[in-house]
Amino acid sequence: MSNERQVRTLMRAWPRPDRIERGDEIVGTTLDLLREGITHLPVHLAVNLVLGGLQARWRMRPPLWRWAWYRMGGRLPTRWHRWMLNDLTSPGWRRRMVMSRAIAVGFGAIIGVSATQIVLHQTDGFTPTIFLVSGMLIGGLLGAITRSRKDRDRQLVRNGYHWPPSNDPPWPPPPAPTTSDQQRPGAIGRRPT
Amino acid sequence: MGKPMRDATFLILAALADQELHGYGIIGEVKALSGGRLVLGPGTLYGTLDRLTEQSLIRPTRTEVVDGRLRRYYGITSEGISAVNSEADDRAATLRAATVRLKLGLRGALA
Repeated sequence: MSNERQVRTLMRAWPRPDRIERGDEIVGTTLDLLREGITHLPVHLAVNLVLGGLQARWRMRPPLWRWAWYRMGGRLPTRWHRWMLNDLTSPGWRRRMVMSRAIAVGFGAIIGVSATQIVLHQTDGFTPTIFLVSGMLIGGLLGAITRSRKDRDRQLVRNGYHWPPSNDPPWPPPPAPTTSDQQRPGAIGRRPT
Repeated sequence: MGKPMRDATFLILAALADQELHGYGIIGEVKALSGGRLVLGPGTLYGTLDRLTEQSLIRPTRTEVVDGRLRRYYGITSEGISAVNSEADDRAATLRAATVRLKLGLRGALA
């Protein structure tokens, strides 16, 4: 495997937006660091590259409570819009959306059923509980799958973005922090305020 | 006095104080400024550059392609100049204080 391929493979540790916007730059700098004739990437460089990517992923993500709020359909502050846009538009968005809804529905079902049991003083026999939780989970999952596209679009609009992206004259690009010198063609435009 | 800067941050800002540099150039300058003690890896470098850009201490200025490799240049902002000046003053003050203590300790040992 060539050095460039090795570096590009390790770049998978970096968040997707970083790979798109500055992957070539990071790969170029890493290759510049290699002396001529080296056929394998030194371990310390590989580790540094991967750790840097994981840290970039961590920095990009909203904190847990903001994430939970966002998963319930809430808005995120601009600082995390770059992560949100990636979450909602990159491959796997439907799986992420359905999984998070399933977890939310699961928690809701457990809390709801437990509360019902306490209120009704029903302490014996868990069969109805299991049926209830399973039914709510299956119903919630089916609902999440069938509504996922609409939910995704609504989430984007709620956070101030056009969706689907139009060919209108471009709005000012989202104030994504580190990255964009320019907006990529077809990227999502910010709605006017 | 704010939180002290990490060495990598301070040296990157110092490297950019008088010139625009690309990633590889920054690594070389930081190595020279630190007397070879600090060699940044790409992960550390771009993580720090991201953070400094978010804090508006540096900004990307231009890109060029050299030998098929993309190079993005970074320049320091006025906020960055203030931050690095302030950090340099703090470090100089610490160094002065430490030097005085060392001299006192040396005199005490010789007496």
